Amino acid sequence: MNDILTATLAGLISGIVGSMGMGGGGVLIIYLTLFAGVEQIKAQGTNLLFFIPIAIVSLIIYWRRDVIDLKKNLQFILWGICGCLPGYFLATKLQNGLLSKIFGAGLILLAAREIYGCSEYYISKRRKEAKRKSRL
Amino acid sequence: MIAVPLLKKAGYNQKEAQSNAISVIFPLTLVSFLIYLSRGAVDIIPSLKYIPGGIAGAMIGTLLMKKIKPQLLRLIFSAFMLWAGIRMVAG
Repeated sequence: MNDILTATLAGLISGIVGSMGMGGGGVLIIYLTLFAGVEQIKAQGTNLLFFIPIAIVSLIIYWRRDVIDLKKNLQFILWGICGCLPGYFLATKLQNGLLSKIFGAGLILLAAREIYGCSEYYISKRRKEAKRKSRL
Repeated sequence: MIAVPLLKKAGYNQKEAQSNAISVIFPLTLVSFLIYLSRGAVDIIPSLKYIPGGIAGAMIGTLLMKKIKPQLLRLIFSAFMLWAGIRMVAG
């Protein structure tokens, strides 16, 4: 019973993050490897299976909202599929290796840039408000 | 996490990029899943228990996408990337 409850909760959080395009896989893989004691490659397999129904549900909802532009996405899909097989081999060969560290460093840089961009937005918003108040 | 910045370069705004990322990742997931399956790297039965919660989560997530401000979404998303990045570098 407890097992089902934690599994549902892990699924729920991964589903929320995943359906928002933020990489719910990261959440489920972390849960599986750190808390459920599943080995990395199996966790990745479980995560792939998990994401199929989540993606279908999310896509139906987004499709109805008319936000999906398949034509524009096609090139990314094709290039991405080309990356799947090499990706699997890398995952099996470099499981605990350099690759994930390089990937992680890339993520940190991207995140730092995004946070900087957001902070600029909030600072300029605050300045505008202060200006408006000083006029009054 | 890689698809979203790429899609933004292709002209989507933050919210559109995150929604459209699903349509990019989904076919890749299918292909990867088949590769994993053919190599016996998937335990199907123990994996199923995560799906009901996941579907409920997808409904909440897609609703949140409609309600949350894009700037807030960006901040949450980058905090998540930062966390994942640190974990990967450290791990």
